Amino acid sequence: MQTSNTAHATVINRRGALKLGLGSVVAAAAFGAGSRIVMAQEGQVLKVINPAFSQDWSPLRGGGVPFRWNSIWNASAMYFDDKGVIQPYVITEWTPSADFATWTFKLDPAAKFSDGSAITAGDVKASWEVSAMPATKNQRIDQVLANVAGYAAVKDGAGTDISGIVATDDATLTVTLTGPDPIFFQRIANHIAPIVKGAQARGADGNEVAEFYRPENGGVTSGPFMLEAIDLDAGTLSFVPNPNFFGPKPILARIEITAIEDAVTATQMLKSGEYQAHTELVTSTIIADLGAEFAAGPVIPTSQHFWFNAARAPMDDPKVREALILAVDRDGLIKASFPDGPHTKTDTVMNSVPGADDPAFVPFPFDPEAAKAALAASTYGGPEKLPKLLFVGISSPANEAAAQYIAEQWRQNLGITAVDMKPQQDQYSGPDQNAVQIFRDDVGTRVPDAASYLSGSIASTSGNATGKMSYKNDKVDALIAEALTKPVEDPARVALAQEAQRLFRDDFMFIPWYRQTMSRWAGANVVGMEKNLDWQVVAPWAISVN
Amino acid sequence: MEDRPTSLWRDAWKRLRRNKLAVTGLWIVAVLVLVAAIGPWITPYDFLSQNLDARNLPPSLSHLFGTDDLGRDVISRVIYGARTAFLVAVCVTVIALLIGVVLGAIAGFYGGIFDRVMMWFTDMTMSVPQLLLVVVINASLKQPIATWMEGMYLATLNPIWRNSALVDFVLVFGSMALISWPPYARLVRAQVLSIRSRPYVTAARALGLTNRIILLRYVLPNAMGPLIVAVSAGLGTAMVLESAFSFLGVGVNPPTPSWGNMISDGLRVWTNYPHLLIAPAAVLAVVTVAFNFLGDGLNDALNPKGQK
Repeated sequence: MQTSNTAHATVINRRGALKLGLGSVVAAAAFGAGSRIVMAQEGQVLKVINPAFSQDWSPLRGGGVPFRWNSIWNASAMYFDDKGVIQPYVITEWTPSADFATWTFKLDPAAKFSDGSAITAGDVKASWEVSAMPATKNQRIDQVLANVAGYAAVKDGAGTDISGIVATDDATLTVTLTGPDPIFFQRIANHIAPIVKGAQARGADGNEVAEFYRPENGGVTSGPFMLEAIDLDAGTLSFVPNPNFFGPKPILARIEITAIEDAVTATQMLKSGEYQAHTELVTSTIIADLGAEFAAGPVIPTSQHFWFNAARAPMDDPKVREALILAVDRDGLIKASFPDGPHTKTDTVMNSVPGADDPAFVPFPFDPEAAKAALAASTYGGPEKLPKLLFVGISSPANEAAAQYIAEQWRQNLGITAVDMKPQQDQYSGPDQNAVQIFRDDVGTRVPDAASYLSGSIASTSGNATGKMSYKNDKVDALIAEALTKPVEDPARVALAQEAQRLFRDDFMFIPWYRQTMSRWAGANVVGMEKNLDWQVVAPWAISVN
Repeated sequence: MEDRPTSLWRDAWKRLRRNKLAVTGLWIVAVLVLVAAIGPWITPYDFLSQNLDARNLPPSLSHLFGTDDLGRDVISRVIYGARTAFLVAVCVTVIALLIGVVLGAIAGFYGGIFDRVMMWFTDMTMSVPQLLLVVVINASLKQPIATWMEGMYLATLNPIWRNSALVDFVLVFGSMALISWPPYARLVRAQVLSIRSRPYVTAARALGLTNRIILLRYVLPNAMGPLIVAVSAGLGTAMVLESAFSFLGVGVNPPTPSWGNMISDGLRVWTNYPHLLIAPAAVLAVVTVAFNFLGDGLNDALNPKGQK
């Protein structure tokens, strides 16, 4: 009798193959489920989509897409909650001098960096100074430190030390201003210049140390999470809890950020639940796609308008400006651009600050007949002789819908047909840059203050007035300047700002559009993603995923 | 009964009529031309008029292709877009054809240094990327010319200077034509090289006719067959190019509709309002296929020996 051991060892019949396959499936399912259980036990993970392959994640830039995530890994001096109430953070006490020209700040003695070292007044001073250095290119540092003595010299590159900021001791900081500023404490309550470790972030020349924040460079952080890994080519970042964070212990075990540029793809991935949040998703169907909760949030002191440049024909004629404003049905404008929200129509420049609701302010009416009469009374006499109108900043579907709606209103109500649109934002620098008459852009403030709002939007010293409107009204300037000297609790501060806004309204310089909602950009299953007027997550330690 | 004398074109027309796909393509192209010509008078609605109470409506009897995000009638915009597409296709193809025929005929007929220089020039032109050229034209030439035209309008108040088609179509897409001629030049050159040694050309020379007359009367007419095929395919390609550039935002500016920018807009909301993507995309696809059918049919009709 012949036997064959090899046959027993290698031959597998069909039934055996089926059993093996079935066993594999069962094992994979069991271990797969097991692995998911293990992951769940390890903690919650928030998966975020970023709309750009951002190449610079320094927390000191004061703007750009990465800025939106500053609060998850960096502490600030103070911060505003989603209701606009100031909250202590690294700084817990602030005391002005009688004339509001000197401020004394006390630091939280428990404040620590992620390496366990204490956050000192010297670190706060260094953070602000390095943010002020021109090479740092912080986009908004002026909003924080413009009134501080010695800031201008550092900003201009003439020095590295802001003389007005003095670390009296490790826990006390004294700031001397160039003049009275009753709301200076509010100006530092944001993440424009977050608190970084001075010895690590600042080099011997006073400038920012390149990529000091990266894990491989030993970057330490002051916020609730710390950067664990970053791959700029892949567009991925991951954050884990800071074990030495001096505030509440974070709930999340991990935050993962992944770059997905295409909004349609991002929407589908959010819809499927593969990701739960987005840095900033702006689509015309966001509510229909992801629900009202995804885009919900507080209305912040930021608003979008179409600004007229009074130095360029035909906007140099107030009657033309009046005609162009009165010819637009602004209820339709908001319906055309944000029919389902989250943003809402506004009549005024300033919004969501004390005094924004001014009963004496008369909104621009929709009055096509008055618009026609105004155009006929202008030096152009009608639409035929009007130069072509050029919009810039028409860079998103909502902007495009709004601009097309306005152009159509002008066509129907005034007979104007020559209108052009460009996508470039902010300062347009095309070959016809001197012909642009209409700029779509936002204005706003990071402090809940009417005078500051107008100072940054319609005062002749603001970039908006000089760069976009070529606007200067001495009466408006005087009212805003006076308002800025009044204490926060003085009703005159608001009253003067309101009067300035009413005067500005009579100059017919803008088509009011919408007040901005600071969306959560997070699914309904994400808790604690509320943001504030600084565009930051208010309490990152409280984020959880259900 | 005496038979009517036959000719290349009459035979080709007979063969083309027997090709059902080609005839279908021809009909579709004819409809496109008609729609492009009389579009503004047959659209059910003004292509610019907005109705915010009728936003994003699906196709219905009152709006056959539905409405867009501003409540504009999509079929009216598609019809107006046909005018854009046709203008661009004709613009690009005619300019490219003129350049290609002249250069190709001279190179092929005279040969020698003419041929070498022109073929070198052809090769060089073919190396220019179309998209890059259109972007550069947009960024550099378009706006100064538009500004100059605006100045002319304000000086004369003649609405012709405010016709955006002049800039968008003629300048931007015309510039495309400046680099689209090499295939025509090569084709004509090859045809001319083949024809110039035919007996009837030799006979014409023997009769003492000038080169210009020989070229225009005997050579070029006999090179037309392949050229017509190439033109029919070129028209379809130009339409796709226009859509591609408008899709990328370097073509026709809103609110003027073009199939490309309508597809681009529709793509952003296709999950919610698929009709906004399907309508312009389907029309573009049908027209492109029609031009291809027609081109294939013409090829078979004009070159029966080449049929499989």
